[in-house]
Amino acid sequence: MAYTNDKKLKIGEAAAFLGVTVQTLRNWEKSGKLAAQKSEGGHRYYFQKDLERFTVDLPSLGLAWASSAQLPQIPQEYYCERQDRFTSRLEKMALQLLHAGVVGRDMASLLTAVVGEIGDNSFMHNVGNWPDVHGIFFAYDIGKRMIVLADRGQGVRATLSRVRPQIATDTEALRIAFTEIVSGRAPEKRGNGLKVVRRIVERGSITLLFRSGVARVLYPQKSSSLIVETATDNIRGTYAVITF
Amino acid sequence: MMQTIELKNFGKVLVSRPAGLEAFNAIRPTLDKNASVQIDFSDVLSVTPSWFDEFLTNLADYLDGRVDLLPTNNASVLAMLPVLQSARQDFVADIIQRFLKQNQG
Repeated sequence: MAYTNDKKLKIGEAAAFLGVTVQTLRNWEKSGKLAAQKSEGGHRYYFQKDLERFTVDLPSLGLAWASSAQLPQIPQEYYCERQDRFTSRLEKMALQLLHAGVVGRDMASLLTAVVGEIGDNSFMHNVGNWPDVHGIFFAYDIGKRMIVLADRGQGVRATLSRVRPQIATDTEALRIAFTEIVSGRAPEKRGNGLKVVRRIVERGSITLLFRSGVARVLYPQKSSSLIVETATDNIRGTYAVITF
Repeated sequence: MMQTIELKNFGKVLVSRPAGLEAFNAIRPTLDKNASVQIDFSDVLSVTPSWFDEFLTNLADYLDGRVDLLPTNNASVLAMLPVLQSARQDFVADIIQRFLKQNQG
């Protein structure tokens, strides 16, 4: 599925397209949720492709990528086949965060580190061992203040078991990944990045949902403490939703 | 002699373990093995723990621990250093300890 529609819509047409009022669109523009383009004459317009992108439910799409038996169709722009593409898209996100003015420099720095660490883990821990499709789903909407990452890798328990063979459940694996210093450097290097993610999230302003296997880690509200619990359904690799 | 490594030369956003190693390998031929090095975070927006762990560990091993971190208010750096310090019992822990003491003052 590719977005190739560059059709321009006036504000009234855009409101009808999204099923909202013109006033709602104006409010969204003011808050940074959905930016309008401006013509040389000063008239507002929207690209239809931007509106289509705005209507995409990123968490559902990411969840489908991480959990479905058959590979779901996703827009190519959300797929990072290799680490270098992820890194370049992350840099772009960081600069957009700064320039959009939605967050300050410190928050842009912290969010980029959190996303960078979670996405990088997917590549590092699955290298040469992807069960079916390598690479990650990485999508964000700065206006909606949301970032979604997902992979179809082996999941946290399988990869952490290489340095902690006694781990029995997905829940235990996630608890260890987020709270315990894992000192084993072989057979793979571990930088304890999820402990840093935890530290950043617990300091506030960011919420996180992280799932792997049948376990999930939740920071349901800003500045809340870590909750590790069993989920009802299974995630093949990992799935993370970050809001700010 | 004191040498300074400006991390901005490697990018505004420093992500991933392979990239951290690549950065170390790029800078190594320019380093005097008998001198000390200080790391400057100016104009870097974000550093991930993986990138920095790989870069600093290799650098500290190469220079027998003669590495110092210049004071910074970079939020990603300040968030990761205490975790990195508690995970290690080598040069890296000492380098971070010196930084945290100085950066507070």
